[in-house]
Amino acid sequence: MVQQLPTSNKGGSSLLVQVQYDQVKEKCDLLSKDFDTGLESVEFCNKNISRFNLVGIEAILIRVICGLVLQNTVNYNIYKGQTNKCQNINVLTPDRRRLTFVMAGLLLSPTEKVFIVHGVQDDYRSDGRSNIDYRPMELETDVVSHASGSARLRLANTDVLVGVKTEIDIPSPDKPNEGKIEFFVDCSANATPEFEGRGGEQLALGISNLLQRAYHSSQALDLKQLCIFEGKQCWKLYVDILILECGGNLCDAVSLAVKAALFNTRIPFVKAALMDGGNVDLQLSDDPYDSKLLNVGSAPLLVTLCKIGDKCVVDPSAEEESCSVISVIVGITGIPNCYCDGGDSLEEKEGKFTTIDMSGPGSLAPKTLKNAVSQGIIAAKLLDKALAKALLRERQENVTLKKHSYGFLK
Amino acid sequence: MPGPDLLSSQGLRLDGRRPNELRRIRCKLGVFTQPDGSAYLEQGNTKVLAAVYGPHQAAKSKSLQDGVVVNCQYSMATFSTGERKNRPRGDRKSQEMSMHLRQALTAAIKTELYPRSQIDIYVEVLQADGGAYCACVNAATLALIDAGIPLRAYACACSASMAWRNGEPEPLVDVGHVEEAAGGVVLTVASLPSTGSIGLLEMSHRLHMDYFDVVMSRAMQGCRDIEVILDRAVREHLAEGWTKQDVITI
Amino acid sequence: MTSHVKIRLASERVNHSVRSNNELPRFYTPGEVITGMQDFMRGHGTYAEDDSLKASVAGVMQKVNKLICIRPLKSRYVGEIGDVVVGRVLEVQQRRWKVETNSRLDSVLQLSSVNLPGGELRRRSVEDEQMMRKHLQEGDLISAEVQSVFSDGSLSLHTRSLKYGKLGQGALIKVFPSLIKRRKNHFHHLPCGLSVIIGNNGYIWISPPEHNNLTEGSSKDEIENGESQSVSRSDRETMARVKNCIAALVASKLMLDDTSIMFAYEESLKYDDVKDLLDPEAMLDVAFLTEHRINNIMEE
Repeated sequence: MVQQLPTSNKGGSSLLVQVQYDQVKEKCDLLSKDFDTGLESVEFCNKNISRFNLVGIEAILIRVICGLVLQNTVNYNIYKGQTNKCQNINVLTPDRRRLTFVMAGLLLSPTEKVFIVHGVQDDYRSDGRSNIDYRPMELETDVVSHASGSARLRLANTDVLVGVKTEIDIPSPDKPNEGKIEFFVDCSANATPEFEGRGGEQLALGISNLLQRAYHSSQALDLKQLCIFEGKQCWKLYVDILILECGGNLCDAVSLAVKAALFNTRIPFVKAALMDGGNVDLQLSDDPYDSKLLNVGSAPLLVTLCKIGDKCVVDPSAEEESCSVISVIVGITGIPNCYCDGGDSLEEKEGKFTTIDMSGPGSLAPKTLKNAVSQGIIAAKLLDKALAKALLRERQENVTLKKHSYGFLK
Repeated sequence: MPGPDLLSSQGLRLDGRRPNELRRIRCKLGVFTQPDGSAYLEQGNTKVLAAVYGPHQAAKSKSLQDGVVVNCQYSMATFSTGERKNRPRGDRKSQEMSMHLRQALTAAIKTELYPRSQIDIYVEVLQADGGAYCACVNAATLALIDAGIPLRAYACACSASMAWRNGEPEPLVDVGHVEEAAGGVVLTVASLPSTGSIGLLEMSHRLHMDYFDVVMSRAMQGCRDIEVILDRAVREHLAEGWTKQDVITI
Repeated sequence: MTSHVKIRLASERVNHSVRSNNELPRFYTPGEVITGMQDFMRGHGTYAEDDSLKASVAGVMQKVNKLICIRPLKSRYVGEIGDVVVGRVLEVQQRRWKVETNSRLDSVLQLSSVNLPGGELRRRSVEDEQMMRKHLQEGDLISAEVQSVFSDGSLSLHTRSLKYGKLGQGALIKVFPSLIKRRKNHFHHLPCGLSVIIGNNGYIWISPPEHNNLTEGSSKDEIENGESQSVSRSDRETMARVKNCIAALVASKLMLDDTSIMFAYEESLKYDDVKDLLDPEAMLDVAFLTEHRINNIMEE
């Protein structure tokens, strides 16, 4: 997240600096040297501290700051044994100007972090959940009437609204019998004032790229069902994600909402097609109910695993996210059997990996990574089953009762 | 008379309403927990979410000594319009709308009470079916009330247009998307109905000066009607959420 | 087996209101005329125009003799002298700290308003200025009392008492300031063993019971050990339960004080698994029963 900071000065002009979190993943040499021992303990001397603690700031800025702090008192924090990253440093420059950097994330006191980290070690988090529990979620589909499919997911404080629009497009030449899918994430300023204007763009780009990679494989979402005429016409799905409130664990909520919206998407039937000397003129059915649904059973779900201390937790709250140094995000395909009625009796297919991503300035030992990933697989399976049950139940309700839209009103 | 056919022979508009009928307004306050105040408003098929942060400490570059800084942002979701919109905000129309929103709301907020503070008002249009700006002003007013920010009065906005019936001008209130697209004149008024003062006035297309008063007074009447609806919603919200300690009479 | 993932539908949404709509007070909305007479004094939430007193926020009227105020449901914290607040240090400036207290302007904690380590009473020197960071840093939580209110509305805090100061291990919960009753005592030791600080600004701090009495004069090592000691499992469970109970009370907009928190805690004991209290139905259940008990006591 970008934060613009107030600076105090003792005479002289002030310098306003913008800090970008997660932008530059520079691994500090000191840190990677120690990760084998599992103890992320680091000791600093003045020169290196600026490099480690300023991880995430653009490279140009680092050189400037290094030049400034060479001979001056740098206030810093030393952490031994805990994987806390320094929340902020104060730098006194030669001409007594003070630059203050606050690393992004919620501001927490060191003792609060100690409490959270010990809780995770104990498998008992601050609200009573264990490391593999999710907070209660609420799901609703078909909330936006202009879109072909939509869904809204509320995960405690996190609120995500997804709309899917369909358009006719020409398939790419190397995949003539497949449709296309494109993701766009918008971080609304409703969530936090930092997202005003272009503030949320970094985060938004990160999530949309992650989704694009997760859905890239043909085993994730079969794009052949979007084909109309091989080589000539296909459907293109625009999946637009609007983040209304941020309460930790964005990626999971986004992926669940996207899958629910795709489940809800209706593609109009093509009634007739005229071949007009190479150009195809399509006639689509006007009846909104004369449409087909997509087969999204195997669409991937993202699971974020946050490493706090030595253990990994799923569904971190905002406070837990600011205690962790690194988190692993895995994309695992869903189980198609859950999504058809009566599919429980069929043999379950194993979920497959479609993407893996890491975010945060820290690093991970290979064994921890393996444990985290296997934890993620279990979590993804549970998520998928619960999502399938909820979606099928909602579809059942809409068939029997007339659809009553709740949206934000109730 | 030249002009689009906005009224049918039976006196019904393009979407079946009567000329002085507002679209159905449904709203809810306190939709989110993170912002200081939030509101959701539906005016017909136009759906708008508003969130208010503040008053909080203003950034040093922006703070004013004698009043609060009101900061607005108008943003439309990409799936809000029939044709997919590529950029939610940052284009000229959104910036103009943000400025207009700021103008209308600054007139209503008692700015002198909060020097060196800042109030952020963010509006997100989820579905645009005409009259998005009016719905935004109404939703923002509700969000400000939810946040407990002192207002001089409700700030309501309403649009009005004009059609011809039997050769006589007939003003239409609350213009929908179909009517906007048909090319009729659209006069948008943001006012404080209880005081009768006008915060913002905007018009598209052409209107003869002779008919300006008629359309204007219809729009003002629309604002007053909307204020009644919003007031009812606020009272319902208060009835649900008041706490026993509040009432003290000595 | 309690499932790890629960997804509910919007049609199953729970309405958290526990109010019985019998006697509703008179509400005022912005722009509404309260009274036309001139001999009333204007308080918060009102303004005078055209010879009459009008409301500027939506809420309930509070009338004390000739002073009329309108109290809104939700607002930022408005500080008064003597209030106990829990705040987070935002910045370390020259001779003072900037503290965030959920009010419209950041509060200020002067260097002269804190107790020096060792309990000395002397003028603050230049060394004290440079040791400020050792005492309180950005991100630290403190409990303090409002000493004075500046003319622009910002607060000046002080921690000149042993019960105030930096907070150790625990959990912070943020609620609306209007849900906090103004009481004589804001530091509570609940019967279940935890200490709770209910700040007037809506920040509630829950901390585990302190097993050894640490005073200002104890050595730095002892304090550090106390801060990094692991909290026991039973204490952690109690803290999680209390945290979820407070969330339940807040969702149903009930007033928060030590009695209501204790009632909610007792009502919630029937849910063995603390994480079950995160469900909306459980939250409504706990809030409803608490409201019931409070009403019964008030009627007696």
